[in-house]
Amino acid sequence: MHEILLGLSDAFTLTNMLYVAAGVLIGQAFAAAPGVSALVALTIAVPFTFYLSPITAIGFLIGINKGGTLGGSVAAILMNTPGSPESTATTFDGYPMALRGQGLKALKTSHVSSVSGDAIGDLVLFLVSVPLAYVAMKMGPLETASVVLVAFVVLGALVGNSVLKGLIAAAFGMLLSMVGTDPETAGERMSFGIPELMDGLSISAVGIGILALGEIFRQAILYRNAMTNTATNAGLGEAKNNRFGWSDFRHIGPTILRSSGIGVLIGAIPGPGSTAAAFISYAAAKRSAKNPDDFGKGDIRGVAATESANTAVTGASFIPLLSIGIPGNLAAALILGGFVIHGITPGPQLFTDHTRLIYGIFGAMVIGTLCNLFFGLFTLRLFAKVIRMPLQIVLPCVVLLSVTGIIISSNFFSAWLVIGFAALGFMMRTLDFSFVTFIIGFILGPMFELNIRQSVLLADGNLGYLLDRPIALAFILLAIVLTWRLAKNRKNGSGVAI
Amino acid sequence: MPPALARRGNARPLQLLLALLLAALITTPAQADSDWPTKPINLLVGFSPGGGADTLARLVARELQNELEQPVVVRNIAGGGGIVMATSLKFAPADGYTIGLAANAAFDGMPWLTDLRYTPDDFSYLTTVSELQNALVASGNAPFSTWEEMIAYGREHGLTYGSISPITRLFINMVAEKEGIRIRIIPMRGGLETMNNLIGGHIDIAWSAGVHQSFLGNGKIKVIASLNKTRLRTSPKQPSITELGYPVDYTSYFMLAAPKGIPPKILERLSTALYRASKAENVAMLAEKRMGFPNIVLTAEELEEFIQNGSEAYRQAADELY
Repeated sequence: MHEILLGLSDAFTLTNMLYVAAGVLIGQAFAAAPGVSALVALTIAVPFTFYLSPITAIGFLIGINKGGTLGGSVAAILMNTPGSPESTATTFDGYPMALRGQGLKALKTSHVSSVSGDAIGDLVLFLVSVPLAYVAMKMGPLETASVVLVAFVVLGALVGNSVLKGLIAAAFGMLLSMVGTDPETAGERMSFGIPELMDGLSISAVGIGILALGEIFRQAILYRNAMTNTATNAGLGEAKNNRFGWSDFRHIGPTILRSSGIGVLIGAIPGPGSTAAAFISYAAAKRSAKNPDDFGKGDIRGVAATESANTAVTGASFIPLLSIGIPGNLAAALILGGFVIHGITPGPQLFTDHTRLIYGIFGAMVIGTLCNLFFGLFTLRLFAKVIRMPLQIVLPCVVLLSVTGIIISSNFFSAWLVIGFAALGFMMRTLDFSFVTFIIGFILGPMFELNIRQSVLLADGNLGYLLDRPIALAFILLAIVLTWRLAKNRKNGSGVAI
Repeated sequence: MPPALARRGNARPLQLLLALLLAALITTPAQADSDWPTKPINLLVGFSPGGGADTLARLVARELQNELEQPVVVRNIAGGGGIVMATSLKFAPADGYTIGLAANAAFDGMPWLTDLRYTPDDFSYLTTVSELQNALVASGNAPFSTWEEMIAYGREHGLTYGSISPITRLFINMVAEKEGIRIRIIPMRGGLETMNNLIGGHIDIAWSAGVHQSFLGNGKIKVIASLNKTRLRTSPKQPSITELGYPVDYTSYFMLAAPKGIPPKILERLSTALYRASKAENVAMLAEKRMGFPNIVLTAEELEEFIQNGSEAYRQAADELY
């Protein structure tokens, strides 16, 4: 209890609150700006947190993550162009609302829904992760390996347009994660005699290259071909059409609850992430409505469904990260990088050895949610004015920040790596290989490898070892069933494309 | 002022300025020795984050920062019990801005046991921070509590052993051969992961360099034997490996090294600052009270000698082995 209070008091210091608030603003701005998403802000920010104390650093990253789920709706509603991928489904009803002069009301709806979804996601995290961590203590090498296996299957099947290409990308990510030193014999492998490669490819270099710069190359080329920024701004509309009152809140309340539930579930499963949650909960809201035909024509519940679901994911994606050490989605994976920089390995031992830090993080999440609630009142209107910022200003700034960040956090060699991975990221985008599965493969690769090797040594060629481990067995069976079910769904065309 | 120079200065101020700048550039390297340090120091830590060595390194970094009035940036380069870090360290410029922390085995033992790109002579040895508390440990629930019981259990069931480096492999292979037990070696990435695996009942025994001590209080981990020359302070009832009739011991230190070839003046300042940082009250407190590591700080000369002796012993052991 003492540690809990200490942790919370760590979080509620002025420095921390300022950093979390700054994070939220940065996240909102990146999400609102066309062409870049909050993920890009996260990849760039991770190296810069190097000099902060752990709790401030993680709080800052959490702030970006949370802010990022709010800003994306502005461009989606007013310009029919999602500011970040998870707001794609917001365009379905948000833009029609804006066209009939209810742009501001749609923004208010998205604000209320986002903050509610966020609070629900956090609450579930606080309640679930502590007991789950105690269960996770029982997880040995084989159990951990089988959970990662399930993550790979879910990921390969749900992300991207082709299961095969998704799995190829994941395998390629795993392959690159093996550069460095063999965990068993301490021998060098795949380092081509380059000393900088002996401790492996740095996660920041790979992340910034693939996620941030790869996307920027693509945007720049698209922009040259004048394919973006053609949508017209529908405007906020007149005040009398835009009142958002208690009756509206009651109208969307059930939708928010259902969608947050979906968001929490999807966030807690390692893999799919907020974009999938948004689409799934949009579909669910439409199915359960009495008048489903209104959806897509400017139904306020459509906006509420997507925005509450994609935000609820944020808190929930920390459940597997903190209790098992497996990130729930890409954003959580990048925040994992922030933990590692500060010498903290997420996993069950965090709850026994770093109770204070855990509650500090929880405190930072609460601050982040409050900031979203408060700032949203002003920033959404502000972003509505500035989202037409031209890409030729946005993109060079991001490139500069990316390269500076990587040189600060590691060395010049990593700057070359970033450029190499940017080219790879661009190629993956053009050839339609999922970079999401690639990055998750890269991050989970070492964990998967070591746990598999430990399991093989422990089993000693004896299949009985597997049969003695019900948890692992259940997860392996789950992976097999999922492969079969998801592949079948795919054939019927009901898979979720992200 | 000679008239010629004054005249030239009046005529072409820009050229004079350039000449002054050039002169400043030329003299800068000569001043570097006395100015050091003018930028942040990198402290490479040869262990994964979160364990004992990492915590200690971060504390030393903070004290060193006070001593030198420059930020000290800690980077974890885990793998192979410190050899990945040592290899990076060898290739770092010998300018006093990059130092590394690992257990001495990474420097005096590992080069003889695996094929590495450095030898013990590639480094200058600066100071120690604390003595490791090497122990053979088991889960609190293990069906054995003493060395004899463990051997008896092992003869019947075999044992699984968590290993964090080739030296810990070397040790357990020697035990397995001498006692005639089949021991399977499971690679582990760090101390904390090893403890989790012991407590979770996934492996039987493991080498711990001291991280086990925080689990002794609640009985989750028990010590079977000390692997240092003497018994461990926190487990005075358990015999040391020498008492058990083995001709070896693994007394070792967390220590700091730098690439060889640092200008003597800088080396002197660096090792003095590190000696003071390692003896600082905060470091000693954390080491002794919270981690249970005796804060034994050797001077650069003492450490050089310790490394030379260790290196010779490991070289001979390796000769016998191969």
